Amino acid sequence: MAMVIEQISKRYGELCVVDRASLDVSDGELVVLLGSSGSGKSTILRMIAGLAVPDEGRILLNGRDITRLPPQQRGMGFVFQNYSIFPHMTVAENIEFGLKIRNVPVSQRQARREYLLGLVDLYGMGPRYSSQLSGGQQQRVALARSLAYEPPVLLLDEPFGAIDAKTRIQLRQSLKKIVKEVGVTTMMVTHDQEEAFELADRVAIVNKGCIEQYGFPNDVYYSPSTQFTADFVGDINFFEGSVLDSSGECCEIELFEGIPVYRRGRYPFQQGQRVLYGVRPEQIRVSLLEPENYENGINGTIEKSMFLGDITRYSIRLADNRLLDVQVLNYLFIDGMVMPYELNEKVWLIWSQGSGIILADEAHPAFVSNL
Amino acid sequence: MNKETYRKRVSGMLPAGFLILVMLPLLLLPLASVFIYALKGGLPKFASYLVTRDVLFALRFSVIIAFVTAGINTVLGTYAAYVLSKTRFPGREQLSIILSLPVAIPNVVVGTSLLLLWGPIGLFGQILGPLGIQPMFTAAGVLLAHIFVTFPYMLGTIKPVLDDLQTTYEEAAYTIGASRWQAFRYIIFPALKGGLLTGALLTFAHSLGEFGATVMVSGNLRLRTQTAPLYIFSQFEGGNIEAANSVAAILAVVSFILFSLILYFAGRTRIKEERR
Repeated sequence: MAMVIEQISKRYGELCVVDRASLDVSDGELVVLLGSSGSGKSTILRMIAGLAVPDEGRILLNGRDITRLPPQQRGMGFVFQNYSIFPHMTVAENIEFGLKIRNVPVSQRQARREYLLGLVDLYGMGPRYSSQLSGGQQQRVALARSLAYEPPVLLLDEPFGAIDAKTRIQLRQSLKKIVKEVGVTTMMVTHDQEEAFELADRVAIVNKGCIEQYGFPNDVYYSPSTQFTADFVGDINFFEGSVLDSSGECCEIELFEGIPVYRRGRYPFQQGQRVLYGVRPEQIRVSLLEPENYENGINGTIEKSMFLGDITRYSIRLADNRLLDVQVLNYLFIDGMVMPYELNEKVWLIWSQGSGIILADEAHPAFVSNL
Repeated sequence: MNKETYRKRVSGMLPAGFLILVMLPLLLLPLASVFIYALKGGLPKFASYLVTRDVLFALRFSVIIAFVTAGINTVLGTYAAYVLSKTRFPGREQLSIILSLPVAIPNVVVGTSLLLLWGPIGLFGQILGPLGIQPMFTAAGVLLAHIFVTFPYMLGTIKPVLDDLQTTYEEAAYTIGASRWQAFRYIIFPALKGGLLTGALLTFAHSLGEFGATVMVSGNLRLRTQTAPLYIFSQFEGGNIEAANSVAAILAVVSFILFSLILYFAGRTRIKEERR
């Protein structure tokens, strides 16, 4: 079912936890609310489930206003971070609970339970108790239980939060497969950007109770609308600069010490306007050769090198004493395509004029940052 | 066994030996003396003391009062624990302390206060008197006192269980579609079973042995309001020590059985909690 959230807010005393958040979710879509702890993302989910009531705004399910309905009448599927599998019930009883209280006949309940156990890959585990299951299995039971009564929307509150990294990756893949197979509209909360990008049809970035940006993962990552979003969804080097020219199909910006960088595309900036220019570490390549005239480039000295398995991360000291981070895929060194760089080696940092982001510098003009 | 092993074993047993030495005059010998005096005249005599009309009434009355008290406080205590644990309102902490006060107040004071409220000169007593209702010095008065005195035991057993019970269980039940009653019946109540049994047994045991408040509100009327502890007291006062000890021995045995059951159920609840 399609869902629309219109300008919902929630306050606890003086503290505004959710501030006029709006979202629209299409039928069968998987939307992820991505934000740090305390950003208000779980409160949004709880308001959708009916476990918290918004102070302002509306929640519409297929056009019907459900803002004031108690959770029982919404019938949302909700998977809690701690799973909350009822400990005195078996897996089968947990899954059937929603059907039991809806007075579904036993034979239908059993059939649905068996289908769901198969769906979440827990076939034959019906007689077990939650204490006999691993974290991943409990999470699957919680998912099956919340899908049993065919909810209009499935809500997942940090469902992989308490699971080890390896199992988490497996569960992510199976979760996406399951919700797409069932076709249920899904909203999930997480603080893990990798998880969000892997699962989401669309991502909403939540910061201080506000939706900072809502869009496709690719757009959010490569075209972030705020500095927070750019920083939250991945590593990025930000520089303060001023616009030299943005009248044509390319925006020219002067960074520190008069270094010009170019960004292809039309931008609505005025000449001389203060801006923040950001470029992600993986967009920069390290080279001993000067950049071509269709590329951006700055030179610097390698100050720090960190081996991180698949990549090596270099911190490079620029001419004006700032540090800039880049990362190089290690297979390039292994295959002899690129020679490993030495500390204190002078190198060029080169990136495409089609990459990098430009944001209006609304913070104080002295802002300069890198990772 | 070599000397070193022997010394280790002896030194290991020393703390336990010291504990028994201290506890012997404090707990074990007084209990033992009850049985020694009760059985002094032999088993037939012991039995004969127990089948008198007064003893049978006192024992039956005590058990009925304890049973009804446990039943009422199971409901009241569980409700109070639920309200204090699962709802938020101003003064919640203060109310929690007030409801636990009967443990801290001397039972004689409880009896006096009940007498002052429900007795002929009390606030309620003056209203109820003209209607022909006089709870003091009747079974109802004894019941009132026992409910008052033992109320915190059920509350104290159930509230920690509810406090530890994650709110998300209840919330999960609501989102699944359960009403408040269904959430209580299917989710909360099963989690409380062990605690309810422990609390009920604790209430029953305390009610069975209650003396201070009972002596004030019952009037100690034989064959009407005399509980087993009051009977023991009366017999002691009258110099009939063997009769008093016979009933005391029975109460001690019943208490021992009850506390064994309490420990058993409390242990089982703890194991279940740990498994979760």
